[in-house]
Amino acid sequence: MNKKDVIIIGGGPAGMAAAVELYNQGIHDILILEREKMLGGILRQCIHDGFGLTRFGTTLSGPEYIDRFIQIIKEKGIAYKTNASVIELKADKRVTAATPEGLLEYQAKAVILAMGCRERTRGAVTDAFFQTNQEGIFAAGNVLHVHDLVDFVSLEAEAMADGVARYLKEGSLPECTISVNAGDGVNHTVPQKVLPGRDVTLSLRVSRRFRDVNLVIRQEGAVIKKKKLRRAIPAEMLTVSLKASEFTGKGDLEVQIEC
Amino acid sequence: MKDLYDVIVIGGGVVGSAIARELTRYQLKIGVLEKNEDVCYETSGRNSGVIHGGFAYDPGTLKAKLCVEGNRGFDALTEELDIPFIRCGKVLVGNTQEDMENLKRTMKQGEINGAQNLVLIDEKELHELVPTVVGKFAMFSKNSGVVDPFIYTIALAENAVQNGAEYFLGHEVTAIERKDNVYEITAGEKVFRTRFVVNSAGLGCGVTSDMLGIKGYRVIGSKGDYIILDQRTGKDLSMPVYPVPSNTYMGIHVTNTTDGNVIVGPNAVTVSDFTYYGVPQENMDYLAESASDLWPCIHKPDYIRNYSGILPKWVDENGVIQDFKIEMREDIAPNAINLVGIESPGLTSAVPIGKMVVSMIAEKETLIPNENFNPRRKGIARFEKMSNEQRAQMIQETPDYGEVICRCQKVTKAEILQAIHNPLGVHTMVGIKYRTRAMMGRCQGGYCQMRIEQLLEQECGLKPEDIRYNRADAWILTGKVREEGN
Repeated sequence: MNKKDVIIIGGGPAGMAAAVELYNQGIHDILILEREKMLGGILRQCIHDGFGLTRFGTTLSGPEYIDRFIQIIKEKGIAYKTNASVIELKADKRVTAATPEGLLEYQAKAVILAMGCRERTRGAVTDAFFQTNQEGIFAAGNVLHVHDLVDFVSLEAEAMADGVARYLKEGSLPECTISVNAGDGVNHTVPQKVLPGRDVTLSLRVSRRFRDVNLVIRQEGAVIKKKKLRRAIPAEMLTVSLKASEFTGKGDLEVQIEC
Repeated sequence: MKDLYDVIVIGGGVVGSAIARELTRYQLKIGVLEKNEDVCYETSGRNSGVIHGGFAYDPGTLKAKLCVEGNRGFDALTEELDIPFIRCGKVLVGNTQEDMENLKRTMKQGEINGAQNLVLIDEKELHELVPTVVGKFAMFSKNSGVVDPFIYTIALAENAVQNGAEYFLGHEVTAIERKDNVYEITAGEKVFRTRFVVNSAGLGCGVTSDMLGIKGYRVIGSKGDYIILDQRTGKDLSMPVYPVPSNTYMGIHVTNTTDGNVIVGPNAVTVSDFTYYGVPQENMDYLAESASDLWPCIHKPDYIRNYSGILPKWVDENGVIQDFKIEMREDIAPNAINLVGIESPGLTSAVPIGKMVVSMIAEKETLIPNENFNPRRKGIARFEKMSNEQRAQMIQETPDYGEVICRCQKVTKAEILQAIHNPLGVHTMVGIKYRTRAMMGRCQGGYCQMRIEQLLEQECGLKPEDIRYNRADAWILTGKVREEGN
């Protein structure tokens, strides 16, 4: 049984951004398992441009955007296997993959789910560290919730990599005790659990079209954040940042749209 | 002198293929004419997949007799032909006094028919068998089961071919003439000359019977729609659950499949167009609503596909559904075995029907056994069903077992390749689907369809524009959007 610090399931935008960030934080014992013949994930088929506007300040086609990451992966010698389909993942972080070279088994300290979504996002419950409800198993990117902009996928994966790095260093992560509840007009939020004392960025989608409304976050009945939205539609993901100093209570956060 | 066949079987569905296979036990030159590009595109591949116990038919009918016989032999058959089958039993669930009377009548009818292992059970026993069902009591038919109808039909056909039968796919029969004691059957661009002919055309049985000169059968279509639920629902249904039936209609039921899906349906609508298989939304809503009384586990997020099937029912002038008709009308069409109205329980009865047809031919002439007949057929070994040890071993021997093509159903490249190189020469996308289960999962081919299509091109030397989804005119790709260099 091969041991690895981190196994990343999926070599697309989320998986690769996470790998690069982990590497930059000194974690080198990583392995990306990708089922296709090449790295890149869904971006390989997004031949229109518009990718990278936020991240790189220029507009690239999908393959061009992802190639920037592939180059870094190769330069840094981050390990990856293509033609490797993960067929089993156990709660204790044992990973089994089918490859033409054989059935491979790994024992990971942390596992990152970055498989993207084919048909429907199943939407794992994640906390502020992007850890799922399974200890040591993290998720980011389209597997968690469908993104409009791959630039945000990269950011999300990097934020998750922070959590993974801390998990590996400390052996565990503090429990995120504050739930984030999606109220009126809000479809879902990521993450669904946050940690008191730690800044967090919430990603969310509204459940229908709105014009001239407020995104309101309350804790224990008191408004802690109000963001004016001139226009909000389900098709565009929104983000709202909360500083730790903005939610100092013990109660859950309620996020909703108010007129 | 053109080839003279001993027997031509019109229709390569489950019954036609069972007949062909039984015929290959003898030294006969057999041809099967199938109008579609594969053997299970019509009724044989569009049903509930249930192997019936035999209690639902009027005593003394062929339906009753052949169903009981077919049910009895089914374990041996599936072992011989490597067909997925689960003898899980089935419950007919009731709540009222009237239901109880019906069930008691059904049990009595079953006993007369020779159906075995029918027992009345109470609410407690019912919930031990199927915890999720809603009902006060039930009749439990222990001998009932579920089969993969695609593999079943394909296996019969492959074994028939293995044993020397010739299949002509894409050959619809358009004319039958009799000249000099021989039938001349026009199908596709060819004329087949044969001494015996079997009409096993299913939905086409009425039209084919007319072509033989045996006119007057009124055949209606009974169309039933189904919803297919995702495999995550399979754990909630251990066996088919039916409401209390009548002798003409089984009722909206829910059925588990051999792969852990659940199918909801069918309803029953009389149709005269035997080519339309669309499923209207309101029918799906009706199915879900009706079946939910019995099994309240039907939720839209679990719907992955729908389909429909049409049963050919022979009816009299009053519209009353008749028994199977399996006849030889020597006065009108000598040496022709005419099968009309082979609807449910056709799947269960297929092999006994085959044996009956053979015995009818044997009455007309002495049949010489085929010493080389081999009843056994091996299917494609499925990666999904293997243990990790078996998988590791398989990949060592055949590296293509390590490349997963259909992620939803864990179907590997090795299986797709074996399916492409199948004994019947079927090269449609759906042909691969039925043989491997690729494209039957949650994403319905969203991921693997393109890869399967590329493998078909590669293995069969086809251009993308040649590939068909299922029917002869079901083109998938029409041409390049841009030529290279543009």
